[in-house]
Amino acid sequence: VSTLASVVLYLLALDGVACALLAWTEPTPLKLAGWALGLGIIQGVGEKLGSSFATIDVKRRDKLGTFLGTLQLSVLVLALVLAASLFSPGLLRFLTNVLAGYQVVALLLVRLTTHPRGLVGQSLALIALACLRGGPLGAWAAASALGLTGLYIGLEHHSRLLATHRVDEGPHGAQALWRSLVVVVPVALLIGVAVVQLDPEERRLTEPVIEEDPGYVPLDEDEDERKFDPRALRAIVLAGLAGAVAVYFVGRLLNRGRKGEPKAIETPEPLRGRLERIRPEDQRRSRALPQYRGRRGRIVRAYMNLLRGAERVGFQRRPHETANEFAEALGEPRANLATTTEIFRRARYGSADVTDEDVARAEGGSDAVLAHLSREPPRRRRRVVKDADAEPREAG
Amino acid sequence: VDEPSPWRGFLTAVAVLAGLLGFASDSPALVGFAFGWALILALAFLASHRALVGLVGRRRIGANAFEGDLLTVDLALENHGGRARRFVVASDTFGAGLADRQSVLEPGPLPSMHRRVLSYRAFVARQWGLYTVGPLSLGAWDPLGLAFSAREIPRLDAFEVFPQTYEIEALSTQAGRATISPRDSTAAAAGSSLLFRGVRDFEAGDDVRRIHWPATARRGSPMVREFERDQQPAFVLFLDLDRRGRAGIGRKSTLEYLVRIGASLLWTAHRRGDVFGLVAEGENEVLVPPGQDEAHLAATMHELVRARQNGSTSLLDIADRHVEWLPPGTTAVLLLANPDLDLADLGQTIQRFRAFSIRPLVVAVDTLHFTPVDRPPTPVEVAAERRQALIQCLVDRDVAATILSPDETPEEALQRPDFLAGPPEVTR
Repeated sequence: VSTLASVVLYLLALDGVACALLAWTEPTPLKLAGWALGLGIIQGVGEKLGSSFATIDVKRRDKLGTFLGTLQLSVLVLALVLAASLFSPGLLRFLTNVLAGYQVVALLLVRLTTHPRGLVGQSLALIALACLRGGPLGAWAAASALGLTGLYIGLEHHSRLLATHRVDEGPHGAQALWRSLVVVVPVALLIGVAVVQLDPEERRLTEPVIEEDPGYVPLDEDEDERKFDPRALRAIVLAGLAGAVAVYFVGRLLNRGRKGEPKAIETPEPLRGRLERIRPEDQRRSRALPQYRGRRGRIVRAYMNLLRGAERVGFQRRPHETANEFAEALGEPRANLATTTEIFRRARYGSADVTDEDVARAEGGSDAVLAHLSREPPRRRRRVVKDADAEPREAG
Repeated sequence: VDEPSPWRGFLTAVAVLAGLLGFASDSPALVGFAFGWALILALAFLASHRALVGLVGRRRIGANAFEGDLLTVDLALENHGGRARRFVVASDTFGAGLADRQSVLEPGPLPSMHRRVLSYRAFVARQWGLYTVGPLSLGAWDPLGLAFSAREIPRLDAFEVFPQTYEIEALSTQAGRATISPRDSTAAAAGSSLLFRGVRDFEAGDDVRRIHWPATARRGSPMVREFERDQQPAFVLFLDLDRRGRAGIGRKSTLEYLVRIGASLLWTAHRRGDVFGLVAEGENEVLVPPGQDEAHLAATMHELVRARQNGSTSLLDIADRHVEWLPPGTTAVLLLANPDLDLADLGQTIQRFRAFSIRPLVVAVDTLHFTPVDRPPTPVEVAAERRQALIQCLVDRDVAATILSPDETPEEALQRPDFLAGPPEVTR
């Protein structure tokens, strides 16, 4: 996964340089091939340098990286603001060449910090320059930047996650690439197509025409002083550096206040058991009473009605008692009780169909038993077994 | 493992800048880039939440372990959702460990309606006591690592840590085991042997497993089986939880010494195959009747680590109450921490034990030498004098005993070859 991420990082660096050069200069294919080869070699050197950087304390590396990043960010923001506001082809050409050259330095220091934000930021700045050109090239620059950046952070995330949890990266490389592509590619395509539709034409490269005012009378200044003022240049450079340093320290101060105490999280190597199939909820054995429909349902309901009536007069069926045992215990009226119990037994447990006549006999028998119980209540039954662990169930 | 991606803030700042530049310079490509990044962030948020749909986690862990043990905790991940899940992080809080959380990754695929058990090894780094394990939390990242969502399963498991134990060599001669000499193994009184004695009415506190169902059915009220009293010699620990014995702080406290020494005594009895039990009285009475096997050891240790010195009854009184229930040949250890011990009472208790053919052993924590917490300090001369008097009392009665002071740790004392090997030495 980490190798794939390095390849994507190289493609992003190359994409930035190529887009900016194509937008604002007229590079030959040979020149572009030279850049591709050169950047590849330099990234190889940068990756090698990573092992040397690894000997430096991580905190110190991060501090150095943050400081350099702040300087770089200041320069890039200034450059992009100038480029976007002035939109002068000369300036844009100049910035393209300078930033493309600086890409070499960013690639060399790619492994100085844990996360190569310097290189990604530099590549995105070059791509922003290309976006200013507009047209299909600008659309490609925006879409490719989204795609490659997203792909890189996806791969880097998987690599970091697997390394943190001490899981071998090998079997998961393809999955990491696929998962990242699924999120990033549709968005990149959508943005690319939309930008082409909105801005199909590239911007024209015209140098701004300076109209001379006939009434303008220049001050009587020394020619040399007008051309170059070292004090102004020094002031700009110093102000820029002071600003970058201030941004760095304010950022650190804010970050320190937010971080708090780091949590001690252990990531032990998981011992993975084998996969086991689980049964869906609806296929698990249910403890609910079965629902009966049609004739069977009517017979079961008639019998349950009988049990409820018996319970009301103090003769509750015991949990272990079968229907026959209950009928024997209740005793009277013997004939109706036997009929209802026998039909209930067939309806509840038998496989043969029950008839309308059975339904009528069961319902009639149940009513007769209830009428008898209301006239002559049976002796009250003692509750002998209290099944405290049993789930609550319907009375009877 | 669940910190926000370092790229999220950085690229969001870049996208905002690109959007502003795009609006300022009328560049749809730059605005498109910013919009695309916002879309990716939204998709990441949704993807991270969807990754947890249908996932259920359960933990399986033993109820206890000893200090310094390495144990395995099983986390069962179940996927009840319709799609396979990948890269799920299960974070568990193991209270007896040093780390805040233990985090394991299931890289997947975990197909729909399947379960995978992930196990992690945790080191019991904390001292004896009661801890919790949990809550377990399941988390998942989006594919780009920009958003993390977690769901907590608010189930806490209790976990007990027992003190580290040492085998006490001298106990090999202070038996609690049966001998080969012929004698009755049970007595004709109610007890807990395997010999059936009869059936009686159920009383509150009776074990429901002893209900005699046929008799219950005949009588219509619950009846229980009764057995004869077991005469197998046992090893019984009498633990002093009198609040007057409280002294010292942390690892240099009398409770610490009582629990550590008590645990090693019980452990040694268990290792030797003895039948062992525990008697103590803090705020409530603690009575673990003599028994064997690991479950019994765990039950006894459970009472030991829950013990608090908040009783008001002298250990000698408790021992006197129980002595007649102990089978002859039993070894009884008095683990004392009372600074106001009446030596005449101690002598009487020892005599009573011997009258019932019970071998007494005494381990006394010299409470007066610990930092006092709820009483004024005792002058050194007085403390030394009382210690000498106790030693003399034990020597006179030829009782194997050890007196512990804060100068040596319980671990050091337990590993001494003369621990409980005989009467203490008089160091006048």
